[in-house]
Amino acid sequence: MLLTAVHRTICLLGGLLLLSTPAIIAQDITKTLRLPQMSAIPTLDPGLAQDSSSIEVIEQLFLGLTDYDPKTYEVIPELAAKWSASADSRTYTFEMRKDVFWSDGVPVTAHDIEYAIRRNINPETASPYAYVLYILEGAEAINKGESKDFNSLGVRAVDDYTVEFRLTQPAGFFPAMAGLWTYRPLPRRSIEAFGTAWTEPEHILTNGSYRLATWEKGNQLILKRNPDYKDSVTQQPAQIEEVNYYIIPESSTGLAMFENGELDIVGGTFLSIPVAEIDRVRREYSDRYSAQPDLCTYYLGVNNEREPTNNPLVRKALSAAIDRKTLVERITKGGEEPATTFTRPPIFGSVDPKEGVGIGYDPEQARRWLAEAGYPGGEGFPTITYMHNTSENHAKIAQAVQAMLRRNLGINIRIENQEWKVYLKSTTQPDAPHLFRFGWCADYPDANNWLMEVFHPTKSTNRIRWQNSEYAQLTEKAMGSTDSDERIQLYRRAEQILNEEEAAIIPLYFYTSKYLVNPRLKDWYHMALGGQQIRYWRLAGRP
Amino acid sequence: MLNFLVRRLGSGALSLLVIAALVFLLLKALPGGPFDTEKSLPPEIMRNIEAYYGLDRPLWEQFVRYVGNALQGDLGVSYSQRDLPVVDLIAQRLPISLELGCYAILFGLLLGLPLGVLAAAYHNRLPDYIATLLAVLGTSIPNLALAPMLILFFGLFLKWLPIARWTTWDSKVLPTLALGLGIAAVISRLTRSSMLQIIQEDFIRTARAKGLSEVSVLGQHALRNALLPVLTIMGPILAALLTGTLVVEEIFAIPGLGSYFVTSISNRDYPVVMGIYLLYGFLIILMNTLVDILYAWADPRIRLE
Repeated sequence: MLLTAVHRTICLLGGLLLLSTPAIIAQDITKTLRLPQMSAIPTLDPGLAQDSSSIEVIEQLFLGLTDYDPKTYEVIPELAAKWSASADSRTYTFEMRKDVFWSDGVPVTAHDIEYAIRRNINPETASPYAYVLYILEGAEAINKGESKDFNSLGVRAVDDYTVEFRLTQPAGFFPAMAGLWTYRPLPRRSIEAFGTAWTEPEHILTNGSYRLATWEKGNQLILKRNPDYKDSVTQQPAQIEEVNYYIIPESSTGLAMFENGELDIVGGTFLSIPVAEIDRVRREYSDRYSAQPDLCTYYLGVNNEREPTNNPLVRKALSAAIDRKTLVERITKGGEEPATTFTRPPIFGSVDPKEGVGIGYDPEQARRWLAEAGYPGGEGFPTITYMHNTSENHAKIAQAVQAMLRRNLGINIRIENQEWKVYLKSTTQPDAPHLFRFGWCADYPDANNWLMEVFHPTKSTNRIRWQNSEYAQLTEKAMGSTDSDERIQLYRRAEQILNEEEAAIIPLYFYTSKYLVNPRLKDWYHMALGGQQIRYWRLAGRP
Repeated sequence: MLNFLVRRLGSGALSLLVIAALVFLLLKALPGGPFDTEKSLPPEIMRNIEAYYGLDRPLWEQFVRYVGNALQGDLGVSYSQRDLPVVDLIAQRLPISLELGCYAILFGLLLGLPLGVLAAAYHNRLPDYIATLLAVLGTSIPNLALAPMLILFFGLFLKWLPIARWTTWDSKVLPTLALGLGIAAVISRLTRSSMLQIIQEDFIRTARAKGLSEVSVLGQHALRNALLPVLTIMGPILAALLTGTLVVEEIFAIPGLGSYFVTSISNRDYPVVMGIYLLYGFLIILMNTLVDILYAWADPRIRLE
């Protein structure tokens, strides 16, 4: 009796607090694409997005003026029908398509773009990516609070379907930038009426290939095909009727769900495959597995101010003593390519690996450089620190590099690791570790996003604490130039200084995304810039 | 009783304030901020964001504002999901953690109590050995190992149950087992040992001497007394389960509070961390008070004063 009383009490307690979980929406599995995402999708507001999972969904909901060709990464029209630049390349005019509508039926116009940029640059909006708008006249001053003159801002709706941008300097890469989420049109009426809640399914207005049907934050997000959408290339709506994103924090759970037919894709943008499982899945699912090139580079940053890595000879010796081929074949094992330069090919301004720029594996030369630096055979070389953010994969790479440096140069390195946010702090301090790992991925496909925005001595974070005036001039000149051939040459020279003559960083490899894709998904491809072009994919049959 | 409740309420409120102040200070002392990214944001953009969230004000003012707002039921908005108030976040996620926690506790009690009584009744005989073996297994296999084993066996191998997510009833079975088995083990061990102790007492001998049946002796007289230690641990277990269990929620992709808690610490999402800490503190205080009341009910010798 007592037993039942206890149970009754607990049940009652539980029952009182118990609320029902959301009802399951019946789904037709043959028409629904099921994708995992590792963490809650932070925002669907294109003006506030800065992470890959938000951008992934925003890509399906909002069109940009331009988009990228998935194979060549060349800029192609999306919301814009065409564009032109003034003779001095400081004014860009985009003519927009007239057949694109918001989900309430109102046409998408140049005024929506003008509004979006004014809103995103406003300091009160506190947009984290507002700085990509700084290339527009007057933008930086407004965002810094130095000016309130929004009429001075370099964006203007010339008429309903023509938008004009005035730039602070010539920028050949501007059309690539104009496709970024911070530049996408926004629905003023919805934002002004609902404030931060405008992205809720009941308020949101979108114009992309899909519409938001359900958003249970941190659990799932459901998109339904936009029947009114006409693709700029195919003139058709999206092929797949419904896309479900599930939040699955554990990659091994995601893999089990894929194996059980509960997910259509796992890997890459959609929850990585656990590294320990790569060998097995490659063997067991050879028809479903693939490694796709990613526009990211894994590199070791070097503290260029600290002894002994402030000596270029030491840095060159370290770089030449690392066998990148072995590293990708034995440690990372995902089809990555060894890297000796920073900008990931085939991005505009990158150097073809066949050209041999940068420092390759050459232990003999490495020992000579170290001896020239005053440490013959590693004698007298102090123990230096190699730090990585806490992760099993980074630890394995660090251990491999440690072993290579010990074997080839006779020197010792101490490996340390820190939690991500602490790590970000540590690597910006003057006493930052001698070596530290980072991975850089393209925001837009131009070397400016790499060489200028990551290592410029004053206009970037410059974690490597490196000063080189020639490099600074080269990247600045390349940014302003509109001559493609000249830009390519300038970036080539910059890569040479960064990776070869100065060895200010040590590139290790170019990333790949490892995918398992259910064979019922047809026409699938990986969009390395993020924001998958789901509108072109098709589903055939059951999983 | 009323006196007791009022005193508990007072000390509880004070505890919560201390928790809030400590967590607030510790969070601010953590290296790395909520808006740090690999590509450092330009200082003016950082300033705009900090101004948006009121982080540009002095620490004491931030804390006073926080407490003031919290008293009015406003725990701020998440830094990583700007349109998501912490109160909404808790309201969405707590019920899911509660549901899972209740299932696990129920399962633990339904399995653990009878197993413990059985083991005590058949002390040093086969049922006792079997129960002990099960309990040792249950306590020594951590969730972290048990959950993937359950997924492998029932999900991938037998294909009886879905691998993960919190949707239909069948998706709730594996997480309940993963969480409940350990609890059942603890409850059965405690019940067994305290039953064994009680059985030696004089009043049990008296009950037997009166000619009561063994079921009645064990169920009515022994178990009620043996429940005290079990009740003691139920408070903290309940509070911990109700606020979500990180490992099980993570592995089964359950959108409860536990899985979000750890993410919010690594994101330095201060308002979310503060909110969950306060909730956790509140629940611990609530559960301990409830357990004290249940004590008095289970053992009339205990008086609440």
